[in-house]
Amino acid sequence: MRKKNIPYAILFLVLLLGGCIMLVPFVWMILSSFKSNLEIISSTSILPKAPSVEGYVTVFRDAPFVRWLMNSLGTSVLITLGTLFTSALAGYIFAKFNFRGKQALFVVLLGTMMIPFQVVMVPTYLIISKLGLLNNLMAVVVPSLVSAYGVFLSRQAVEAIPYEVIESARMDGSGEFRTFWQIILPQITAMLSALGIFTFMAAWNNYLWPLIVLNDNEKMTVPLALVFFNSKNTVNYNVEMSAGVLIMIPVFIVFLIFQKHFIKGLTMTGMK
Amino acid sequence: MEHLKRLRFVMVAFVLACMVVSGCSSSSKSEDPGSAKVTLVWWTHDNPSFVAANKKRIEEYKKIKPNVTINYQYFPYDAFIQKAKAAYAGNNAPDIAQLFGTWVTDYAKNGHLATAPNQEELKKNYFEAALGAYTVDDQIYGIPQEYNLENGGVLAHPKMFQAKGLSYPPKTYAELVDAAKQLTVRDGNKIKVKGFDFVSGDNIFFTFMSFILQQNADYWTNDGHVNLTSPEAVTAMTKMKELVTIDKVTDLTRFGDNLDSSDYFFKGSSAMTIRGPWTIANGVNTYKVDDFDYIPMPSLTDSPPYFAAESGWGEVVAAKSKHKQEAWDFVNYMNGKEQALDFNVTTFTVPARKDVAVDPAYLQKLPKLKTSIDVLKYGKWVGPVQDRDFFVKQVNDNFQLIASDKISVQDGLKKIEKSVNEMIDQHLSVGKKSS
Amino acid sequence: MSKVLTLYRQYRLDRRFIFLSLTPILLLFLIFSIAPIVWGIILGFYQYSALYQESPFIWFDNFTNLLKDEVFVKSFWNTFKFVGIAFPINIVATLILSLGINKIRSTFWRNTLRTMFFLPTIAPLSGSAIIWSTMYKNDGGLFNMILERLGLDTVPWLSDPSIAMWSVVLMTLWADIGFNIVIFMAGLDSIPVQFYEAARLDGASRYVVFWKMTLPLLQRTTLFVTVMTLISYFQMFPQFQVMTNGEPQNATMVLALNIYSNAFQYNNMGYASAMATVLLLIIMVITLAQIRLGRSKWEY
Repeated sequence: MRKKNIPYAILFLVLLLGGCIMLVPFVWMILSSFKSNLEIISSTSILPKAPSVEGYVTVFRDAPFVRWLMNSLGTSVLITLGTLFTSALAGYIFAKFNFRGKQALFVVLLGTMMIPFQVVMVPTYLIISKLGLLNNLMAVVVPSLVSAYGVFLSRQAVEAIPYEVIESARMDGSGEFRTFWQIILPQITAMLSALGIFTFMAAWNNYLWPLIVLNDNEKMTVPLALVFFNSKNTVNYNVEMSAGVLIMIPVFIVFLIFQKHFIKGLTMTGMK
Repeated sequence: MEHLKRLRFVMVAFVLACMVVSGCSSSSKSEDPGSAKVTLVWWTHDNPSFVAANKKRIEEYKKIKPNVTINYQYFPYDAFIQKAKAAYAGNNAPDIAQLFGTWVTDYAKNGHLATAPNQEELKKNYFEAALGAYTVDDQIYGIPQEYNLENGGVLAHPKMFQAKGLSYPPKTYAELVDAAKQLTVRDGNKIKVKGFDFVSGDNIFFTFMSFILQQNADYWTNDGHVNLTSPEAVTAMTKMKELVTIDKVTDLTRFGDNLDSSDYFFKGSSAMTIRGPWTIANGVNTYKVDDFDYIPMPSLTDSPPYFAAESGWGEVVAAKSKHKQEAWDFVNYMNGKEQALDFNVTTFTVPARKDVAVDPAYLQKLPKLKTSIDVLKYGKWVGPVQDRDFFVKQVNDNFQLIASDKISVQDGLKKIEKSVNEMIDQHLSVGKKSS
Repeated sequence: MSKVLTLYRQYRLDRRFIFLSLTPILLLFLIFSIAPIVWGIILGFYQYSALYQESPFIWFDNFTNLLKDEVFVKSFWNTFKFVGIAFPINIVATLILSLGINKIRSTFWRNTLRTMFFLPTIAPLSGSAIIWSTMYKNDGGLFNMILERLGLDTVPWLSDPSIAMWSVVLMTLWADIGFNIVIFMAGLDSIPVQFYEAARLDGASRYVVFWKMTLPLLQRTTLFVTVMTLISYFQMFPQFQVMTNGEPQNATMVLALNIYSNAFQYNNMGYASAMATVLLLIIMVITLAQIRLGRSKWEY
């Protein structure tokens, strides 16, 4: 027994060390956020010599950070709910119904997952502009309401539900939408929560697209803070680090709360 | 009843999110065509000293024209480039924008900008190099606020010269190189303190251009293409290469770094750095130092220290703007002599207006800029480079290859010339032909 | 008779349901996914810039120019270099780490370790890239400070053309191995314990168990992980833009970044679209090949 314990202990310690190394950049970010800009640029000490909250003060003073926080929250929630709804509904239809062109449609859907965002960025901008949505938070929300990835995952999850369950619901005379809402949704909550967290994180962290379609400072979202304080000729490292801390905290909290569901959901996506 | 609870949760979340999103998109638009109230949208980039100067103008203008509200937005440099392009292309441009001169040509050529109302006055009052890129087919499409020069002056630490007992400031190019060699501090193979640094995004290009000009040569052909394979261009590039490979007063290790070469200078990692005067603001404001000078860059030859300059930041008005008259009124106000002086003093930039440049008040407030004012007469507009960033990148890429002995000077110059001329052809083939 | 009628009614209801629910979804999809893609590909045949008043149709000129463009060729190979280094390391490392973490007996520590490795994946990539570029700084950066304290030579992490790509790879691995670890762990969890017991009873060595049992049973997970990782690595962008912007000497210029700078910096949208089409083709070929390969193995 003791012989076996030594390699086990080594394994454990190595993994723990690895895990701690993964956290180093975050610690570095937090430490840097309490340094002054000059200290980050010129000093060679790891710990802040003269701790200051100057970076945080600048974030709140020079930018409507609370407004941005609300904008981010609003758009991310809308995108998440929209994506969950459209994904689950389309996934259900692709999994359990037959209609002409279904296969072809599904392949096209999957194909769009391979498209680099750079390819579609300008055309999408022009479309949004034609729709008159520029400089409107809806421009961030609308293009993200349907996710090919989400439809794909939902179809996999719904396929696992036996036909009998649906049939028995129909026997009870429940309409198609009610079947979907009451019978299908509860069966795929694990997958949906993973997709939900994933979508929320992606929406919360997205910066390139909001940067291009939103103009007014009042309308910007939180990740723009990262570029807002970065400029070509003057780098405000401490402000960026503070903004980084403030952006990451909400995502970490959401993740830690929903972690269990998330892992469970991911388990299913990976396996199917 | 589980699903009802779920439904309610979803509904509440949805309604809340909608409220947030719509709450702020409805709040801003309040344009009433009947009344005389006008809102002008104004975009600039986010250099802190520029923003400070711009905000001052807005405050002043409120008192002069209370019916004009200026909606001022500023963006980081890189983001600003993209946003401006997307906005003009999507017919969503701000009424007024503070664009970098060299960008203006493309916008003007394609009909996105309105012509300035007071053409003759501008031609008389402003430096030609400053107006260069704002002019298409003899029409001026904006008002420059600064004369952008990256060359002509060198940031220098006099204390480092004193410590070595060197004569200061260096009067000739040979003296400068000699001093740089002695000021370079080495740590093994690495350079700890650079004697003379020109390796940065802007300065490789501009040093190269001015070295050509100082040999009384030109890099433009008569048909609007570049000639970078002349013997003078080869000499210019060879001199620059030698600074790295033979004199070893600088190296390539910090190129593409997040910090500006002037940051390293203010940190004391170089004795002399060739950089535009606007970086002085950074040293004074961020590093809170004052123990440096801005000295003239000696000419490579016996000719005067000619250099190439760009048209700097300046105001343009969108062709599609609904309030062109009001927009020009504001722009003209900003470029009145007093206001222009204040802008240049706040931002440590060189005046685009001739009468501001000779105004003693300017040098009184910014004694360090004497160097730049003195060399203004040697400045030549860089020329119709079309895509400035592309040109600069070609020079930077190939200079790095040349300086690390991966290709010869001649081959590198041939490559730059070829790709730049192809780019120029491409630009000339579309849009209004500018003869 | 009535049964047929009910079936028919059900069919009608089904149609209506499909039509009503799928139409808005497909409409959104058409407007914001299909249309931009088609538009984007078509732009590759024009000398297009959004700013220009006229955009001449130039056939395949953009594509033939690509072949002559040194920066494009370099970015093409750099993309493969990046994927070629980062992808195998990612897969091997995540497989080993997930096997290791799965061996931990305490549930608490297993979960904690998983969370520790996963945390970087939920931080915004552009933010992480900023953090890492300050850690990579020549002087005052974390890595060089540590090297200096150990009395070693400092390394120009991002400014030496032969090192820069490796630095970006390291950052990328930090940022996204957590995702694959979680999925591999889930895959491992789903292998029934009895299989391992049976193998032990047969006296199979650990080596044999891994190669002959664990790995084949992980086939589906592996396919999913490799496809997703490859697709995302070919498109990797924020860290290149933030940390190096393609420098030094274009050593870290990858296709995604090259597309971006041509479209938004050099105003050469048509040319960028041609590049993007090439990237699209690469990704498509590789993904299809992978799926083909994975499928034939499955059947076997």
